[in-house]
Amino acid sequence: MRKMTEDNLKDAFAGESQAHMKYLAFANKAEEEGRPNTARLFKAVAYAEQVHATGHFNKLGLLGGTVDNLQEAIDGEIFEVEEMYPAFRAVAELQGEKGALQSIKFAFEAEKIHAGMYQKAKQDVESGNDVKLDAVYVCPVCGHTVEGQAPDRCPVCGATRDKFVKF
Amino acid sequence: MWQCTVCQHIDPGESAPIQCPVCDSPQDKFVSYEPPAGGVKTWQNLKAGFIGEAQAHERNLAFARKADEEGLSQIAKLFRAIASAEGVHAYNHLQHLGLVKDTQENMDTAFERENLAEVKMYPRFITEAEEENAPEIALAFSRARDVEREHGKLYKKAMQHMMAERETTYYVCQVCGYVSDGLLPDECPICGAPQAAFKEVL
Repeated sequence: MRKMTEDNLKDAFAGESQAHMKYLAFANKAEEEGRPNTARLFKAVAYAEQVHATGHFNKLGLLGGTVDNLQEAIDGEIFEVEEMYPAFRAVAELQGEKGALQSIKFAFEAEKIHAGMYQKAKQDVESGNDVKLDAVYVCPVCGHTVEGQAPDRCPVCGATRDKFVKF
Repeated sequence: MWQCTVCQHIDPGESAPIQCPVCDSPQDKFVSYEPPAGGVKTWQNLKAGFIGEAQAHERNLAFARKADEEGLSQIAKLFRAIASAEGVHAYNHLQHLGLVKDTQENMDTAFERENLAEVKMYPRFITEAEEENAPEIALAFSRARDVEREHGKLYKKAMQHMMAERETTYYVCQVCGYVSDGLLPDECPICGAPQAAFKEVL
């Protein structure tokens, strides 16, 4: 693929990904305001943007086999844990930004766990099996991710067990 | 920092840009902007964090679909769980950026985004894909553009009905992202996918 088109596909992937997440946040807000139908519209369009993001991603040729995809995911998590979030945290601390510091810390803590889970999964798949995986629980407040059982309280943000979303 | 009053784009520069890099509005459309969380660098980092997490979320969902196709259902589950966690992070960063406002304003922002994707971003991408002899990608871009136009119409309609909170059902084409309001089409008017390709949004 030639350069300009490749760059455009990357921009389109970035734009659609952001639109998807933004509309989900807007849907949440509409629900809080007691507007369930507006929330549903935001969710519908968010899903449509996900279809676009996936399409662009595919055309970029970035979707390999699952072993390659796991490695790609591991690399992404490690970059966030070792470089991106530590740098962001240092700046937020320097500038005394408590709110930003919190959302950066939440993400940093979870990405460490994600990298480990992907690494274990990759070993299983490379030995020719689907991974053995218990239920996975995700904290909807901070993104803390845990295999097996949801904790009584989230160790990162303190959210209670009933808040966790099961996969 | 500066904010474009037309498309809400925020520019971290010391003076307002001559022209908005997103919607091309002139300099006089910019007003001074105070970030909700202090300094310019932290604001830029939150934004970069949001973009990175949003992309990781989409990438993980694509990887989950691939793992399902390969019959690796447990790995697919792991990809989906982590996609969800990245979604939480993206949401938190967006909140701290102060970009989730009340629904009226969120509708305006969403409409403006669809409009810009339709009239500015995708038309250029289509032309450039044709110039570079990538007809398949030009077609994918042109479908996305057509769909964004329909999304814009849906937001506009919803803004007009906001007070009434009209009840309807939305169906989304899983091939091209077309959203149908209240009617399950026999086939997708944008990409021709069959009725079975549509998913109802609950």
